[in-house]
Amino acid sequence: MKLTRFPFLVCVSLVGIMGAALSLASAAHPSARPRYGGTLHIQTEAKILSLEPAELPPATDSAAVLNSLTNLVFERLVRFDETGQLVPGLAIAWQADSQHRQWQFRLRSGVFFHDGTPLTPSAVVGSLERAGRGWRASLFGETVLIQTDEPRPDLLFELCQPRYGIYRHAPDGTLLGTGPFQLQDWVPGERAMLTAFENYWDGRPFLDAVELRMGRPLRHQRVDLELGRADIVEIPAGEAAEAGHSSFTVWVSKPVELLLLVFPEEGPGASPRLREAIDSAIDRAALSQVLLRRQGEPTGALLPNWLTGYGFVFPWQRDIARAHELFAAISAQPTALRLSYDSSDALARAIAERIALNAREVGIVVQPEGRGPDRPGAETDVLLVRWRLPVANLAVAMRSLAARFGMLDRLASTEASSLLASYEAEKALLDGHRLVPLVYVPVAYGLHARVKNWTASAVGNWNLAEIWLESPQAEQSEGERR
Amino acid sequence: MSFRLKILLAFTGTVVVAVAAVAWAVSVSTRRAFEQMDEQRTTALVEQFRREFARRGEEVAHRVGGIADAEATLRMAIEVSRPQPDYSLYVNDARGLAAAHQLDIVELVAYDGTILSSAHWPARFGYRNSWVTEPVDWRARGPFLRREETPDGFALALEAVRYVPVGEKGLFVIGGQWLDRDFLASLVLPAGMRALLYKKLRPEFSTEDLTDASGPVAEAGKLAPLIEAILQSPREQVHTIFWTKEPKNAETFHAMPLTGREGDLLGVLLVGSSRRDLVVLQAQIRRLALGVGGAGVLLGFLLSWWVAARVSRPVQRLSEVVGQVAAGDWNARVEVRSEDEVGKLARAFNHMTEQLAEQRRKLIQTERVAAWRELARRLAHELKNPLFPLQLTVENLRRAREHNSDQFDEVFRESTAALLAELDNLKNIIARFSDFARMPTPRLQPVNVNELVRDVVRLHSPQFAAVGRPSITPDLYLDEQVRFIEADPDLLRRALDNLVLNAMDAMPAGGTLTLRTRREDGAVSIEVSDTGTGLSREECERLFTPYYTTKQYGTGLGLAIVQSVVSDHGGKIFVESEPGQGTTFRLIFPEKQTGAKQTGGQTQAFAAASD
Repeated sequence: MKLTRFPFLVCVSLVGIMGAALSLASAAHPSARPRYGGTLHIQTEAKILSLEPAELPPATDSAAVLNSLTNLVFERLVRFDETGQLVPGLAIAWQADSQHRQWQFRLRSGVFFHDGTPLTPSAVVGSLERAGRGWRASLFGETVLIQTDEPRPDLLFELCQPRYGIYRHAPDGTLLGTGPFQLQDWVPGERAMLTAFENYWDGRPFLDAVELRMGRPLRHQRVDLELGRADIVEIPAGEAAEAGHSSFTVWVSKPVELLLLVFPEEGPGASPRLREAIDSAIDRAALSQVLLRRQGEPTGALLPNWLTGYGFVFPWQRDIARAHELFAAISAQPTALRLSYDSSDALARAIAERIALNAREVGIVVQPEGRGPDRPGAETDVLLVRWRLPVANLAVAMRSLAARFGMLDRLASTEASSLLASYEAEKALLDGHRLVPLVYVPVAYGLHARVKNWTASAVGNWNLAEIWLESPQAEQSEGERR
Repeated sequence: MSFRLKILLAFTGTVVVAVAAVAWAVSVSTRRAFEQMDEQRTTALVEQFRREFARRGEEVAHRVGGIADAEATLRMAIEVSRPQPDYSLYVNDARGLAAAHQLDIVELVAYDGTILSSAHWPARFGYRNSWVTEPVDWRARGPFLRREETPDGFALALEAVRYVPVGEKGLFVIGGQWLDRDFLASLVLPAGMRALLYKKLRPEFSTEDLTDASGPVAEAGKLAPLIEAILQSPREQVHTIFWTKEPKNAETFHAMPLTGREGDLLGVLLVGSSRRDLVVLQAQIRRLALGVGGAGVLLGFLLSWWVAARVSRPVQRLSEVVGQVAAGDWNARVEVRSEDEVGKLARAFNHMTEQLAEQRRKLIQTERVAAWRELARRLAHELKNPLFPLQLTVENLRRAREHNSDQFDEVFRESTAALLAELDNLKNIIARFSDFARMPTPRLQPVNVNELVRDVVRLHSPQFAAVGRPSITPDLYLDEQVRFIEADPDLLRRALDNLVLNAMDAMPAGGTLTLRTRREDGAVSIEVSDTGTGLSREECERLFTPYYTTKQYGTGLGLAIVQSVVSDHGGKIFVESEPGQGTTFRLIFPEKQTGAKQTGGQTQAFAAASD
């Protein structure tokens, strides 16, 4: 097999590039007429155990999938658009008092729950009351009034989270939302079956149904995609380039997922000098160029450069001399640092081993240890974790990042929407090297050829309402043509 | 110890010694033979191990060659030789190649030493591997050992290198297998043999670096001297390790130094051969030898018993007949059943017995005649002395009657008085002989021996200091622990009287008479010693013979009476004497009479005492 690999790769690369270009062109600019019908099969590695918005945790590792899925069923009062800007959702207008303690929302008309009952302010109040934290929701005429004890200028950002999706329970306990798809079958952690909501206020989606299979290993997803048993699957970032040479289309987002080292405040890795020594010893270029096959973006910043524009200001280049100097200046040098990573994450393992090798050059002994998801950070000295950009919004992303790693206290101002404030906040989070950014990687999805009009947000969330599937006949003829 | 027992012991001892010698010789020779076989086996196994080790090296080299000769590798070499190559394309290739070729180590290294891909340490891509760029003909070099760095430290590996040239550039392919417990487990070794590996990962010996196919070696410290010796002087050594006190748990180790490309010592390979089979086999042989030996000894003992019985039976019969003859049965004869030496001996014995019986009969006859002659002589002597005065008195009386009747009455009176005196004398003589012939039966009663001795001495005291003769000094040494004995006090006194009188007769020039009593072992001894002229050995031997006397006027009945008294009391009498040194008689009486009369005891006693 190896004997024919290189000519094969060259040929497949050429064909794949042309095919991908055609597919993307077809997906982005559908030349054919949209078609109603069909079931879209999506597979994901993440497992979602509950869809009820009020029960959703503030942040999870499967937040991206959760966002995408809940967006299909439940809608919030406001939402972010693809560029990270706040746009109306179920609320078409809102206003706040000067102290940001009272928020009044006017609801969109003509919106129905999945059982056909109209959306009412009282239903919204009930839903918000179930999920609300630190506020009181009430009716105010035909509007919904939210009152808080403390000023909440960021309340709108908060309301964009999935847990504030507007919903209610049917008499049989079924979750009823107002989104383009309604929940038909739900097996927690395994499978979700959604069907198109005919009375969706923004028009029925093209798809008849969407089937989501959860907890599916990446290799199986890839096989199912190749065999036509899946339409959309996840592709590891490092394999995106190679996968692009395959028979399916690969969609790659902007770099939205950050791999970073997180040092606990105490323990052997508590010395800022040691952290900086490790930071300086890491060869991020090798991580990006080799392990991620140029799909990654080495970074010294917490937020991606495409979002902030100032990412280059934070240095990421390796400085081995500086690392030696810093480590030599440490009086109590640790014997060994345990570097924990998710044992199911092959890329994390490769990066952890490379970091250990880089650190060894300086004399720092780092021992990579794969941990299961049940105890990712227990009894460790440093963690290698992934953090997914939730939304293309500076302030929200910064707060989300700080909250994820328990560093909200380092954010000086609650209003960080300005570029300068974001820069200052990032500097504050990076100070002391508790967080050591490594590389930003994109998310990638493999798309079957029958998937048309694929769109996704800037941070890689699906937008299935606009997708339509090619008819089997057309698919067959296209296959024959290929 | 009987003759039969002696023969039995002699035969049995001979058999035991012979069997033991044979068993020992067999055991020693067998042990040496087995040890030699074990040594040859171990040597063969070690050679087999070496061949296996070399084969594995060749296998590694062959697999590495297979990778290097593959078309894909050539393509890779071409790609990486181009300007600005994209090394990221190959970062995972080494793992696939390692899995496909069953190698633990595969590294693809660019011509300048840059690691493109590493199977055992994937994170090493981009680092330099300088040693591989040395000017070496890797194809001719063959497999070699190397200390390889891993994420977890250092490890030993059996490696080979191939170079895929592309113009002036090219690609190095490094492949190998870990020299670890898995490698040891994969070696085909016979039962009872195991391979241990010591990896020299630090200057000093550490038990952590010693492993076998199952993992860390228990009690690895016992191997430390052997390994340290090789670390100091890298040459093969053989050493036997006793893991426990049980010899079967011992293991013989052939230790071989493992060197790298530069001849540097990287580790020690120990091929252990268990001595269990050998020891168990030796124990089986030893048990078998002991069993056979024991059976041989038992058989030998039975055979010896039979032979001893067969050989000793005529001798025993001869001994019995000798005993009968000694007991007085002069008619006893040995039955002659064979014509061998024993038969001749029996026949000679019968002949000798017949001759002895004849001589004894003649001797008895002679002695009887001599005794009668002696008795006649003594009687004649005793009777002659009174008869002569009787004759003179009668003749004197007759003359007085014929010649002088006036004086006849006076002569008659005097003569009859003399006749009566001499007749009394004759009567006394006859009475003494009669008394000896009729010794009374002892009338036993408690007798205080010490008191009796004092009475006897007191009775004779006047004679000790009689006027006109040298005095005799009596010395008494009486043991106060001497108790009463059961005896006839008159007979006892009579015996002591005779001994005291004999002593006084033996000391005409005076001297010391010593009487001593002593209690010993349920018996009482009475010693009567004089400082007189003493007796010769011949006199001692005949001393107790009736009518024998060394005195001019003795009857020869005194000591015979003493012996008779002692014998009647179940006692013994001994005499010790040296001419000119005096004589000691020692009488031993039992404290309690058992009723048995010890006849002949005095003879033995005398013989013992006179020796």
